[in-house]
Amino acid sequence: MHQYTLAELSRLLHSKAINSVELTQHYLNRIKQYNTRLNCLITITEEEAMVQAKKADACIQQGKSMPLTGIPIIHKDIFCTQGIKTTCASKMLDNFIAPYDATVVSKLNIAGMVLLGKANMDEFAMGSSNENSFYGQVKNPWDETRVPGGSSGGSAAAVAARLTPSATGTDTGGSIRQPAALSGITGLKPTYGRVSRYGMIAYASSLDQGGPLATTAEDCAYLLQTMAGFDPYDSTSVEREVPDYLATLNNPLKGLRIGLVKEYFSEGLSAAMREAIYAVAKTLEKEGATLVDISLKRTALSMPAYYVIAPAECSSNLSRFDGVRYGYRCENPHDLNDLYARSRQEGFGEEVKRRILIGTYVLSAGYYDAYYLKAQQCRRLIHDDFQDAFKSVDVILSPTSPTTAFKLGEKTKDPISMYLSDQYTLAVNLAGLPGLSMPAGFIDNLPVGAQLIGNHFTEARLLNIAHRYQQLTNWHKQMPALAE
Amino acid sequence: MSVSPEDVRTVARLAQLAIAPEAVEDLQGKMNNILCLVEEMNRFDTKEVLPMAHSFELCQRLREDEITQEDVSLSAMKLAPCSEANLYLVPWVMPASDDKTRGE
Repeated sequence: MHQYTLAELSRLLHSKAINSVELTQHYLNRIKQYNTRLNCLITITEEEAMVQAKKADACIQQGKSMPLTGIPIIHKDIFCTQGIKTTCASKMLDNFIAPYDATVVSKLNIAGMVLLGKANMDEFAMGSSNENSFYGQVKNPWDETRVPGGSSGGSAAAVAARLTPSATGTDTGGSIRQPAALSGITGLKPTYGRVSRYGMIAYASSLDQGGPLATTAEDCAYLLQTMAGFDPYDSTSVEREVPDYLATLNNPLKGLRIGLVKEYFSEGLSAAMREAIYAVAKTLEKEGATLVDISLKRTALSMPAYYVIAPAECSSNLSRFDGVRYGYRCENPHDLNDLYARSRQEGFGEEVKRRILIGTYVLSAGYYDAYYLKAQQCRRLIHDDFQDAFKSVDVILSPTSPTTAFKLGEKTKDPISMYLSDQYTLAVNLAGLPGLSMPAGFIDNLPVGAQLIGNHFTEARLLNIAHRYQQLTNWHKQMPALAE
Repeated sequence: MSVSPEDVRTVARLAQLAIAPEAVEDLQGKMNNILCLVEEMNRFDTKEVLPMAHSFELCQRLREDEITQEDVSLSAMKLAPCSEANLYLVPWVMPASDDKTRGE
């Protein structure tokens, strides 16, 4: 049953060939069997899942269901879930039970989805390997000595291992796309403002965006259809109609102009990765697309600008964790400052503290103009480069990450080498664009991800291209041995 | 630009992080590596470039001044590590001579 896609499961549920209770029980059994090995989930919500599954079956019986009714899902543990622990993979929130649902959670609840549990992740979404979790590292189901990517590593690994047909993630610099690539699944980071951030614990507010992870583009389209839309509770949510993402999935690709960015294929990228991405381009070209060489000449600015802006926003957002109103509090503080400083020192992990320190430094008196203002100016240059590019192409095709999944512990000592894993994804967040990663082959038996980048609010086009590509290839159908 | 051990201690104080003295050197090295990466920005002239805080030029949305959400202060208060009579309890700000840890 776990080898079906979300779309197939929806059809099976609605034709009453299967019911949600048996489907949910099947996935819960798989989670029990494999979660101790992979560590994808922080919390398993078995009781809640069975209640939701019974309710979903009743809805289907009564003809009151929606396409996602009865389908299991796992939420990244960054989304607040009322009455269920929401930890952000941090000791700081180990005891935090959210008093309300995130808008994404409540929309998917209303659609009748069944919550299997909360996914492991890099603490406060800071990381690219899922090794920065208070609850331990997540393992890649393709090779358990390797990382699944991050920060939505638990979500990606769970989908790849077929412990769930769908998951939510968040993406601040590549945190949906990079783990999707390293785990061999499909993940979509929507345009900034397309999906509500209400109830999504903030890391870098001008960059964070929630999105779906699943095995296929079609499944991501189903999920985005429900997740997207204006939310009055999120002041950065965009008031704009949500298109029918499913209606355009099969549109022909004739006339599509695909940009290949010369800076993304420069030295440093392995020949095997370059070939895999060019093979995607050739497949799409055969479908009627035109390939265009382009340049994003300020690409080199992405990483420096990101590592000023994201830590700056992080230092501000995470100042709320002070040991007073909720979360971790240190033992026996001797005064108020000691309470703040020791609660934060003991409650946050190393990478989070490093980013808070960098953020505090770049925002401090005397350094603001040299770092933060400069980074915001660079951000505009990056944005302008993309807008220039989109005058001559419709989408950009690139590797999602420069390498396949790397070994656990390989990059933990050197933060900069870890940051390079996101070198093709960061700019997309700085410019607020949508980006999708889809399976595009294998190198040494490890999945390769290809990234499609579109202009603002072109999610339908990205899903359409990925869906057409998945009609022509079988990469997305490959499964790790434990799912076969 | 690079940070000194004293800079690390100052920033840690501003960030309310009780960094252990023996961790300062390692943090200094890692912060300097990140700042070195960030220096790459200076290769580009941005004198005439308008800073961009957001990917869209968003303006703050206004709404009617009316209650839109129920009061959740009581349920939020239940999450506090230490509270009494709907008040968050913290240690004394000004230490008292005989009872410095009231509220704990």
